[in-house]
Amino acid sequence: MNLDLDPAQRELVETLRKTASTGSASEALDAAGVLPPGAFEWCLVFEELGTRVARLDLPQIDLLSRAGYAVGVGRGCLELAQERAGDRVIAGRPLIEFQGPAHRLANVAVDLAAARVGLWRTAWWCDQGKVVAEQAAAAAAACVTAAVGCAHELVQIFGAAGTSEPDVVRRYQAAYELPALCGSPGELWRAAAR
Amino acid sequence: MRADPDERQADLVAAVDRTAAEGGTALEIMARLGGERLLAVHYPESHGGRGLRLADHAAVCERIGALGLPDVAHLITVQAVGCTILEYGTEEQRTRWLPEIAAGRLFASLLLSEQTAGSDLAGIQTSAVPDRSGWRISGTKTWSLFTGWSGLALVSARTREGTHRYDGISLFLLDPSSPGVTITPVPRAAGEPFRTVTMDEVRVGPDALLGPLHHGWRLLPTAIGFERAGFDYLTCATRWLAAIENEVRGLSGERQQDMATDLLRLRFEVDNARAFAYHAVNSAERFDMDEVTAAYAKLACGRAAQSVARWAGIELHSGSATVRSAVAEAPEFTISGGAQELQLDLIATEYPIGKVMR
Repeated sequence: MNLDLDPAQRELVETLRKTASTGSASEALDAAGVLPPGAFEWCLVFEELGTRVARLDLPQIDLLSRAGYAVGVGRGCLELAQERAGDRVIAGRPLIEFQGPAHRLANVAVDLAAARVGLWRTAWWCDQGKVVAEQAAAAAAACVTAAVGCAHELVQIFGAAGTSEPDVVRRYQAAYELPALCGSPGELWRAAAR
Repeated sequence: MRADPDERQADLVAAVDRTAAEGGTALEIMARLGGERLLAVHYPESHGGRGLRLADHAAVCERIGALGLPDVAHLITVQAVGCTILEYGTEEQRTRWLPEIAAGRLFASLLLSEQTAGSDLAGIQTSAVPDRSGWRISGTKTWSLFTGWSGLALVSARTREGTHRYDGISLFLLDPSSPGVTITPVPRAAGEPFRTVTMDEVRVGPDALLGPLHHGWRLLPTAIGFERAGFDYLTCATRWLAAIENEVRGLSGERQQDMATDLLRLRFEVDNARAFAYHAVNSAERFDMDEVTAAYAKLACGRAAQSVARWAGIELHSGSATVRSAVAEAPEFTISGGAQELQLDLIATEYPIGKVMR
C-alpha cells in the first residue's frame, strides 16, 4: 500500500500547475495538453482545477472527478489560509505561531487529507475494474464536508477581511456550491450505506 | 499509488497466519514467529531478519495485532529498542541483543517518560554519573509498558547539564532485574498496567551506553518514530470495529438499518487511517519516517480508534467487553507516543496538504 504518485502522475500534476489558465476546465486541459488515462488521474486533474476554482464546462463528469474537484476547492482554501497565517503578524508574532488558529487549520488539513485518501483509494479500485458506486458516494461525502470545513477556516484566518476579500469570498462560495455538484453529504452517506 | 498490500506483504501476512494457527500461548506463538524470522523482517539476515523494508515489517505488525497477539510489546521490543540498537549500537551490542529480539526470546521496554517529562522527553531528571569504567543510573521512569516481561530496557538519562536542553542526554541499555531497580505496577483504565520504574544507583558497565555520549536525543526519532505512525492504534481501531460490526449484526433489522450509515463512516475513517499509516512507513529512509507524514498517520489512526470507541460507547451501550475496553483505552490514543498537540503543531507549520502525498 503506497500513496506516492507514479512519475507519470506526478508529471501530470506538475504540468497542470504550470499552466497559468484561470478559465474553464476545458481551457486548462487544452493548455496543458493532457488526457488523463484513468479515474485516478482524472481525480488529480480535477483537484488541480478545484484549487483554482475553474469553471466546470466538461460534459458528464463522474462523481469521483467531482469529488476530486471538491478536494481541490478545499486545498485551495487551506493553502491560502496557511499562507495568510504565516504572513499575518499579531502582537508581534505570525498568526500561525498561535496554537488556536494553527490547530484549527491542522485539523481541517487532516480531515481533507483523509477524504482525499478515501477518494484516491476508490479511484484506484475503479481503475482495477471494481464496482465502486458505494465507495464513491462515501468518498464524495467526505470530500465535500472537508472542503466546507477548509473554507470556514480560510475566512476565520483572514478575520473581517475574509468576508470581503474577493478571492476568499469566491472560494468560500465555491465550497458551498459543492453539494449541488456532488450531492449533499447526508444524501451521499445514505446512498453509500444502501 | 497502490491501495492494497503488495504480494510480498500478502505472503508475509499469510506466513504469520499459518504460524499462529498452530496455537499455544502468546509467548509461544511469538517465539515460533521469531523462529520463522517473521518478527523483525526488516532486520538484516545476519541479525535474525530477512533484510526487507519497514513497510513489510508494518504488514507483519498489523497482522500480529489483528490476531490478538501482544503487538505493543512487539513494537516496543523490535522497533523501538531493536532498531535503535541496529542503527546506533556497536557491533558487539547488535550481535548480543538483536538475534535474541528477532527470535522472540527477549522482550524490551522503553524507560523514557517521567512524571514531569511525558510529551516533553527532554525534561528528564534521571541521571547517569560515571562510576569506575561504567555508570550509576538514578531516577524514576513512568508510564512504561511490558516492563514486567522485559529482559532489557532502553533508558534515557542526563549525563551532563548540557549547553541546551537537548544536549547532555544519553541512552543506556539496562537489565530491569539489576540490583537497585524497583518496578511498581500502576493500574490503567484498560489493558496491561503501566509500570513505574525506580532506579537507585543502578550500576551498568561501559557497554551499556547506546550511541554517542551526551547526544542521545538525536536517537529518539528512531526509538519512538514507528510508534508515531499509529500502527498500534490502527490495530485497536480495526479490531474494535470488527467486533462492533459483529455485535450490530445481532440487533434487529430496524436498528441495523439505523446504524448502517454510522458504521460505514467508521469503516471509511479506519480504512483511511490505515492508508495513512502505510504511507508513513513507505516514506521512511530505512527506519526514520518523514515526521509530518507520520503526524498525519498518528492522528488519523488515533482518532479513528477514538471514533469507533466513542460511537460504540454511546450507541451500543451494550456493556460488552469490547465496548468497555475500547471506551476505557481510547483516550490514550491522542496522548501516548506524543500528545496530539505536537502533531497538530507540525502539520500546521510544516507544509500544506499538497505535499503530504508526494
